[in-house]
Amino acid sequence: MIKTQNLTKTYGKGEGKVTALGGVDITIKDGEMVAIIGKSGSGKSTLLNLLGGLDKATEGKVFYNDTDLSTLNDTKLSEFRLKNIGFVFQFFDLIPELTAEENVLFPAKLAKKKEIAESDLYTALDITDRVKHYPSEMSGGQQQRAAIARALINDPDVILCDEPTGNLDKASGEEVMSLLKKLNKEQNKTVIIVTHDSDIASQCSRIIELSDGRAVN
Amino acid sequence: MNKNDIAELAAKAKNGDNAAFEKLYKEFYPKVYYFAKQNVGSLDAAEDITAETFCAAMESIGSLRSEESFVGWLYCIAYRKCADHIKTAELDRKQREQAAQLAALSEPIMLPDDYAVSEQTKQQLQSVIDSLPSDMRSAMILYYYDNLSVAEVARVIGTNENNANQKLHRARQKIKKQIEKLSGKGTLFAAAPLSAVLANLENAGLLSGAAVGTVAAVGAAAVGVPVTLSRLSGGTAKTLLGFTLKYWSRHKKSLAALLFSGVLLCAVVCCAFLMIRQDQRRWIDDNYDTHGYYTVAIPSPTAYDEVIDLLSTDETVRGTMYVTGEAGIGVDKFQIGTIDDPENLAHIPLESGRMPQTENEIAIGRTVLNKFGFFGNVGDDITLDTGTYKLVGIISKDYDSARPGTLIYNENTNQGNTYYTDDMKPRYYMPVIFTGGDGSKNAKYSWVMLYNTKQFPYKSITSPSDEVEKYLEQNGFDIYAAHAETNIRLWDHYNNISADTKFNLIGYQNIDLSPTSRKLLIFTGLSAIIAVLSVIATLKNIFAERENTMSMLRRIGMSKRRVRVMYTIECLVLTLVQTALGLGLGSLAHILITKAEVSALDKKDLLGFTSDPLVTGISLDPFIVAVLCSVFVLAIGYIFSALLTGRKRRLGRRTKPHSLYRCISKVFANKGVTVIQTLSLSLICFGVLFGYMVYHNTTGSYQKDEKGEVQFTKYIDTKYGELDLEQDDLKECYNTNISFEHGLNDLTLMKNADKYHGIDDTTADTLDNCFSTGLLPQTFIAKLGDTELKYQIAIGTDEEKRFISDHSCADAKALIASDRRMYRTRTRLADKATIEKLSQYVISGSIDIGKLSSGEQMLFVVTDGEPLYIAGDKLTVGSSMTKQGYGIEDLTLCDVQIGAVIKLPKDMDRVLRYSVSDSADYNLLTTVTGAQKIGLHGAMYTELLSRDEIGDKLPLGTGFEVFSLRQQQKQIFKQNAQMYISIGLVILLMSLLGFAAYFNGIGMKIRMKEYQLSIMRAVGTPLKRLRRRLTLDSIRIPVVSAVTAYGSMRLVQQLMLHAHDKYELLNTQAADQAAQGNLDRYHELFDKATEISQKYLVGSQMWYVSALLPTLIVFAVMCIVTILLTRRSFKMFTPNIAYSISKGRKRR
Repeated sequence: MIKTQNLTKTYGKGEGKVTALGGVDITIKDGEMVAIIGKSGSGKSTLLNLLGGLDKATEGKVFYNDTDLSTLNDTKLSEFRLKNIGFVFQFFDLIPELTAEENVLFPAKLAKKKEIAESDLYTALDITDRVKHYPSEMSGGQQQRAAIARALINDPDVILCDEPTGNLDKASGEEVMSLLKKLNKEQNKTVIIVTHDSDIASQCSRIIELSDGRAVN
Repeated sequence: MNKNDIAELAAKAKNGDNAAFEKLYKEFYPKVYYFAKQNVGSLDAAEDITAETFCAAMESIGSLRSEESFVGWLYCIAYRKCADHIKTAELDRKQREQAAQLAALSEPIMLPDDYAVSEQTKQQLQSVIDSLPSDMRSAMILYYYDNLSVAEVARVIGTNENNANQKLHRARQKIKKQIEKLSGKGTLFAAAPLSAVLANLENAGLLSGAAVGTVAAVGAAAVGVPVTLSRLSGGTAKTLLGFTLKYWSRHKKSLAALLFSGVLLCAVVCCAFLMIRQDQRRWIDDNYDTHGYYTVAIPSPTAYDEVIDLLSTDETVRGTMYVTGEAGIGVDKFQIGTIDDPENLAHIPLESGRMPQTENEIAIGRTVLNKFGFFGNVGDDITLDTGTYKLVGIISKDYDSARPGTLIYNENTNQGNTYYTDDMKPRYYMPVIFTGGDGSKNAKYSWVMLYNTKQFPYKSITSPSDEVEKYLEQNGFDIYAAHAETNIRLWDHYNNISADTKFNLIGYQNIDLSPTSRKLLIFTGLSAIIAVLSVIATLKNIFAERENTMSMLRRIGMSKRRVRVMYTIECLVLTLVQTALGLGLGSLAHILITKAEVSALDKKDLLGFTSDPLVTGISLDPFIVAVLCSVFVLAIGYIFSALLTGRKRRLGRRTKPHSLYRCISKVFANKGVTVIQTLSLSLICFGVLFGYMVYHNTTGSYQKDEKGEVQFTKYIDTKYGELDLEQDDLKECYNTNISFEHGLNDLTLMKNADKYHGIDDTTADTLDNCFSTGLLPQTFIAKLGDTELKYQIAIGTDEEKRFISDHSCADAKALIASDRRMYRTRTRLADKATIEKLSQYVISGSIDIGKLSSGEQMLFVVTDGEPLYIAGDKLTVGSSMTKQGYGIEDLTLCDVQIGAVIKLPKDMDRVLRYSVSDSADYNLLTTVTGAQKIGLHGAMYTELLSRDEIGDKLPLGTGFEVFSLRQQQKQIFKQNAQMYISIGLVILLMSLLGFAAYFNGIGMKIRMKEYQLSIMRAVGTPLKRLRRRLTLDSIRIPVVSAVTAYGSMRLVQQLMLHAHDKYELLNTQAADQAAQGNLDRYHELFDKATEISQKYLVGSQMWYVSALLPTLIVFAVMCIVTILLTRRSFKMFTPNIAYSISKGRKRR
């Protein structure tokens, strides 16, 4: 279960201060598939980053079950991310100098995982024949699937997606969505998707709408 | 509102009721506005006119005659205003039209709300822009993105203004339409200026075309663009320069980094070459006494006029030095002469007094005076073997110590024809004794110093000019020596000059680069390499940054040639700025350094700016070299960077996935930067090691001990070296070792060359006061049996005996006349306690302190060989004192008995041995009181004395120079500083450059990989782990650099050692040949050896120096710096990983 308490994020100081999130209290249960929607600037990406520990909140807390993310230092937080959270970014964000395989296996090696079912993963994601390739040699859809593989390699409970289909054509976007849905249903992963696409949002079990840094419902 | 109401309000308003006027205003505003709009057509103008109408109405409402006619009156005003407006409008309608057009162009365009953040929208926008016809697109990008004016756009795309304007308008319309079509589904729109849209696209890297999948389309468009820059006329350069200026003004930091290296290089080179010229000037000034290249010795004064006629004009003869003969005291003879030219006299530095004017006056060099043992001063009379003169000037040591070759001969020691100084550097020789008067009458020969560039255009200083040789030969000159370094041959030839030969001798001055200049050149070269690397590294980075802009320019139809032209212009401008700054900075640095040198190191105040052909002939022009370097470095940098940019990064081979750490390293890898970093660091390391060796060699020397092992002996040993001092209060001690090299007459007091021990400043001053009495005592044994002793006092020839006798007191005269043999010995003094310790080493007789103190007995101490006496032998011990340095003015003779003979074993206590024994094979030893009793002034008190004790026992000292340890250290430091200041400076600048390149590299590597590193963090890599890995990776550079530098240094050392062996071998061979009388072969071998010695710095003994410790130190420093720097660079990472990723993504 993920819970936020008065989650606030502001940038800058004094008059130039901008409030990205102004006290968000949400609870997401295990196995939920949640869409976070809102206009640009409504703070949806900020919320996702805070949920994933990619940023530190100005105020308020994020709890994963009993773990308070704000109490963890960089090393502990990194370890937590490594084991519990999988990230899927809008721009795939694969490391360009590494092959798809190296990209995917990176977190596994980091976690010193001995047995990796990567081949299953590749098959499931339909990128088996591209794993030795560099990101620049792959299509957007393939890159995004590799990015998802990377997010899943350590078998995290939570998958956080920031506009996962934003840079994909319609067909690839749909594939990615069905993959995420499958993960949610079959493996009971908690999936949180930030999107501004109402089609995608409608495929989720719950929609949290943000407006001016607050959760509307 | 009816008519009455209006009239009522108007009346009120007329009476000053503002509220009433306001009501009228509200009522009539829309009506007047509508009226005005009908008349002038423009909304804006209508608004203005309405406002103006009401203002006028308010002002003049007092003049309203009837309140009922208010409405008509108001419209009247409005009409007038409208007419005015139309009138003015007509005048500048054309202008206004243009303004309107421009305003239309800058009107914002409605875009989807999220155009700035949504990548999807951006890509859509991109495709819209891509779909425009190429000429429109070009016009648009130039206008909106590059902020060119419509006129400039027109020029760039090769059309007129109207046409360009049209194109821009149509482009806008198209974009607008397309955007509306694309996002028609009720998306939110925001007003955005088109320029911001384009800038935003560029930031995302979309405009460059490389990131989107439209490369082919873009290429086609680019080719199809009809525009072209090739058609540009006069405005091209200006426009291209515009691009350049725009880029650099936006990247001031990069510009600063680039100019830092370039300007520094230019300054270093300029400064270094100025230093070389300066060094050369100083060197020539020190070593050569001539203003010209050719010194012609004319054997007879009568030939002088003829030489002048033949060789010179007024300009060429700078001075004639008449050598009238040799003069000296006793056996040492020096050249004596006069100079007829005030300029030449003026350049001789005087310690005190002036140069002589009459024949009875004389000026002598300080070194020579010391050799004579003359301790008088200016104004005193001095008697040389050529007569008695009044000493009017003492020539400073700087001048004559550089010319010890002036010592002509010494029959006894046969040392006179050694024209070499301590460092075996041959010198040109000149008189160091000058008399006044007209020397031309009785000159043995004269030196004509020529400077005749008219007749002998300068060609090369290292080899004599053929023309000159031919000329001189034709005119009866016998060309003999090729250059002054073969002084011996010159001298031989002098001796063979016969009186009837017309002109026999020509000595060429062979002036070469000074040793310091050579070293300076090496380091300048090294720093130039580092600067080039640094510039390339910076440029490479800059070019990578500019790739986007460039590809955009290419897309709008700029040809490759144009890009090249642009870069060339840019390169030229930068070179100009860089060179100007560099030359200024270099010259300034040179002047400041010289000032500092002159004030702190007593160096000669000569600057490197000179047109003296002696200097300019050998060294390159500093400014030309600096300019060439500056041009070269940027040209190379640009060419190199231009070649590297745009090349696709090669993807590695697809192998098995790498391990985690290899993966991190792989991401981090930046071969180009790493190579430059490693090279820079290696060079610095090498420079530091070399500098260390050079310096190390100035602090001491290496000598082989008995076992053949090389030992390093420091010139100054602050820990008193081998002396194992047990007493705590002996922290300051002094050690003087007076050597008497050439018998009685040579009373030079030499300090022990290998080691100086010192005393504190106060004691040194006290001692100095005591010693400045000018007493030069010496003890000798005057009476002896048949046994031959070493060190016979050399009053060899009858002439000398006579000379000394003439200057001696009666007792001494008698002694010399008696023909008794005198043997030099030394008497040492020690305290009772010390002497008592010697009883165990007595081999004959016994020590009786009482008898020693009463002056009745003395001890004979043998350090080596067989004892010459046994206890009970009687000796006459003489103690001489002289003020003038020649003759024995005060003689004390006393008969003493040898109380005991002591043989000192080799393994005895060092301190004790040092206290009682001289380095000679034997000496006399007595107590202080004993010596005083018999008036033995020449005894040396050599016990190590503490500071407190030394004052009382001084009268027994001799006239040696006294230095405190600190003074000594300062002096040696000064000497070293004089030699190495310029080299040190160049090394410093070099390191600065290199470190800048290195530091820049570390930061750059991490900054450039911010994106990748942030992704790694996002997937769960702790920052600490990344930092550790990258630090380890970075440390490889210092490791490789240190190893490379150490290896190279070892190699250089081996080369030097090899050269040294060869040098030794050649010298031995030369000596053999000389012994066999084969002089030609000897000279050949000798010259060869000299050449090797100079080339490989054989004199430096650098191959002995161990470079290991400095390498380790440099390595450690580099590691620490690397670690700190990596840590610092990592500070850029914030807790906001998402932000870092997006920032890094943009950078990419």
